[in-house]
Amino acid sequence: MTAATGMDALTHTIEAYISVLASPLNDVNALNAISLINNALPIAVANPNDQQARSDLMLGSVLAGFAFNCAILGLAHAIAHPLDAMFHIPHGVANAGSCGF
Amino acid sequence: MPEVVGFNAPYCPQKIKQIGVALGLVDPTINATVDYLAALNKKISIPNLVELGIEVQHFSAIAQEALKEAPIYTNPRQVELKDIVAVLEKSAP
Repeated sequence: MTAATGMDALTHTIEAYISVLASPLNDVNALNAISLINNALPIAVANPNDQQARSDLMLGSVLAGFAFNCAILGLAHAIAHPLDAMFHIPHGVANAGSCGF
Repeated sequence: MPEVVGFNAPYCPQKIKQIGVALGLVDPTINATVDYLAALNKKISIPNLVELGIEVQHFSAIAQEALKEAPIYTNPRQVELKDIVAVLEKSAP
């Protein structure tokens, strides 16, 4: 759950950052979110009780939300939505692994 | 998502490199950024499409539905059906 939701948040912020609707105001939030989530997610997955990592993930997720609320998303989410609906894959997993390794 | 980033990178190369900087990469090239994201998936045990039961026969239907999704229109690179199928095919080992 932590990994999937964390990667959904990371996908949100990356897609918002490169969106055609990206703007400097949103980019600040997007880049900050990338850094927060990238640093905290592996820690929270490995140590679910790490409160600082959880807190950083929440902040990163909120900032990612600010970013994509204005800039919208992109191809990863466009692919993830049918994966969710057609194959019942958790949304964060569909976003993260939508195109495999 | 890593391969979507790779697919989009030619249309937003500087931003992909900035993503690499935000990820803490010492040498934030496009390839390094894509590879890092793929490695992150593995590190936190995100399964890939094959492990999720997605097969080549499903790709066309997935791509057709994906084209109807609103986020397609804000993607930095214009996307056609064949592009999505190609990106999905990269996932099949």
